[in-house]
Amino acid sequence: MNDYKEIVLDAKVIEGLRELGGSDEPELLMEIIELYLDDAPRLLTEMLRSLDCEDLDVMQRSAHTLKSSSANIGGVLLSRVCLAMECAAREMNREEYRRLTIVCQDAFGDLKRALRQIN
Amino acid sequence: MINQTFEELRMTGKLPSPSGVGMQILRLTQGDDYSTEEIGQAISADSALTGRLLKLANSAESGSLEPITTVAEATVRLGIRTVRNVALGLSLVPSNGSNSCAAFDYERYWSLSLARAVAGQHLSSVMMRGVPAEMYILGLLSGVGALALASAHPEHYAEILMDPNLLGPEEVCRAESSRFEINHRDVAGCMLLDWGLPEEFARAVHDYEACEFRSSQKAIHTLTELLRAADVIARLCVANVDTPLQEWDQLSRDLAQLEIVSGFGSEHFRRTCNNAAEEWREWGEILGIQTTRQMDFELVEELAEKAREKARADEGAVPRIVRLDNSGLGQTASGLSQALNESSLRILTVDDDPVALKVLENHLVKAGHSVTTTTNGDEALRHALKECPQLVVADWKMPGLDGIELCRALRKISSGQKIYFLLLTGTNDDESVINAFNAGIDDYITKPFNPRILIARIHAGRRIITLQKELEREKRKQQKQMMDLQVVTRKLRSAALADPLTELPNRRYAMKRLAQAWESSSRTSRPVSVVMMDIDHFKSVNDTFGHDAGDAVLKGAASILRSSCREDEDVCRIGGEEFVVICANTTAAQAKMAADRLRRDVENAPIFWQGHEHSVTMSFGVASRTPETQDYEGLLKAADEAVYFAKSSGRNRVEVAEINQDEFKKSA
Repeated sequence: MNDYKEIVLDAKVIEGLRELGGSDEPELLMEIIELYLDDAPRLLTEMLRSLDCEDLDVMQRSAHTLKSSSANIGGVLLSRVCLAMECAAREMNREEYRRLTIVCQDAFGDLKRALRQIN
Repeated sequence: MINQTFEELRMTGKLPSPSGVGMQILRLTQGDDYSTEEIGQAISADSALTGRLLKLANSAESGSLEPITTVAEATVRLGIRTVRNVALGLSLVPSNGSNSCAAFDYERYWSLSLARAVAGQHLSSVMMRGVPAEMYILGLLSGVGALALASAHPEHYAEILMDPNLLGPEEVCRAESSRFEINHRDVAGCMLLDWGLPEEFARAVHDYEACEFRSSQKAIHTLTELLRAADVIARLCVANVDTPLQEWDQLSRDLAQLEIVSGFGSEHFRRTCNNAAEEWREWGEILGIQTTRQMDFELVEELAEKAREKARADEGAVPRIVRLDNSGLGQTASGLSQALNESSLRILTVDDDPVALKVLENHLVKAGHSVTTTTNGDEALRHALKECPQLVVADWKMPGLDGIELCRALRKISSGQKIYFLLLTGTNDDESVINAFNAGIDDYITKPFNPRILIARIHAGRRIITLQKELEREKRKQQKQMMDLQVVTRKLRSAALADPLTELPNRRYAMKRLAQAWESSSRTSRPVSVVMMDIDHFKSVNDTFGHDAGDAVLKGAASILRSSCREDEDVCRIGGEEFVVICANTTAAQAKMAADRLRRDVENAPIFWQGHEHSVTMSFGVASRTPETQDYEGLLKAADEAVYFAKSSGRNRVEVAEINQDEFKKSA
């Protein structure tokens, strides 16, 4: 179970961000988390919408952005799912992409809960 | 309202207005039924105006055509309307007469107006928009509103000019409106309409100051935009040590923008500016308007950079974080008090992912750099052009302009070429990386990045930036040395062609000039003549009073000849007491008239030496090319023989060469 938690959210990354803020900017970590939680749902919506209108470019780009954005905040699992989606879009495999959006939403739900517990 | 105020202004009779010929042209062309002939006659009556008009007509046209030598030809080539507008505009230049407003820098005004004129003409011909000669006039008249206000309200206008709180033309306009109920833009527009110049002209002089280029490429279409472009180049021409720092900053931004909208590319753009400046200096000599040295783009950048540094220091927040809102206007978020030092870089970051952007920004600020963040490529490009960052960190994949496209766009312009470009990329595959380098990036980092690697790469970038700066400094130094050398060379060259005692061109120059005139006469079948002359009894002056007296007589005679000669007659000293005037395009009869004039003037003007008045006379010989004349040496020889004849027939007289005698007998 601990392993799964580590995959959802990498504690080392969180500590790194906390250090980056340091004593000068103690609220930086929370700020970054807020930024992420504001932006990620937009990208998830974009993925779904682009799938509906079969826009492969946007499918790929939104997965790409959520991939790096999630990696920045330590969301290892979500980042990996997004990588798979990015590949699926590149290979024009819409079915795979559609299947992964469900996995992606779950992974985001778990990450969001984990982030909310940080203080 | 404005019309009424202008009418009142006009009634004061103090507004600049066209000179005699200008007025006549105005009157002739009030209706639609004026003839080419009438205009031509009116212009030809003023030889100075004719000269300038022909110079303009020739310089505005491509060099492959035959040179235009008469007003009639100019009318055929340029069209009657253009000739009329040009003549009218040119007739305004010398009428600036009374410099009544003490605070108005008349010298700078004419210098700047001339620069706009020449730059406008040049741009118009390079970009093939508008009529070059008309752009010249438009530039010349572009500032006439301010000149008019200074003439009509010298004291009150001085107060506005001296007000240190009025920055930029917009604020000046507001102050003028509240003072005079009309501003210089409206005055300029009304004046041009009043003189019967076309409405587009009036609109252009009214609008150009406030004209913003659309940021797309090749956006110069209208006369207003052309004039605005000319204005930027003109300001570059006249900028000097007295120009306030903040104007340098504005100038550098305007130049960067103009470079883009001109669509020229950086090298062509600079060449165009340099050519315009070169022509500006030529025209300055013709019109007696002051111009300045070689222009220096590097200097503009250096001073603009200083201005920006000063502005940043004034804001008291260094390094700072600027966030750009969607309108593209920067908002300063101050608070950090770390002092700006050598190791600090001005960095622009761009990423569509807010988390990555925030993390990046914090790492960079922590390392001591001042950072501006942007969230898309277009915003980043706009900001880069405005603020000239030293280093850009850009994400690759972004909606709209992506990292690679941003890099390509920056590399197209000269200020963007100096920026160190670091690309953030998610992929590491060879093909993409090679593509990125081909687009002009300097380095890349794969995401997610290790912060220590990021900082290490930024430091590597800083080393390059520093080296580049030194290189540029070195280049500037070399350029300066080269320019100094050019000045020395020019001086030496003119020394080689001038006679040090009388300061007239010497024999070598005379022979060169004569060879040219001969060549051109062979090409065009137009006549060419020379007048040779010799001071009478010069040897006895030398023998009786000594060489000092001889020198004084030579100098005196030279100065009389110089002032007696017309602009197109070159007088040179070719031997001890021997002078020659080369008369291109001149028949024997015309040359004889010139010689008669010179002889009379020499006889009537006394020469002073040691407080005594001496009167000096000269003997003249005139020769003109005939079909039998072999070469220009033959022509000189004929003139020399005529001088000999004049001497032996009693001195102080003009004789025409044997070869031209038939012509004179016929006409007699």
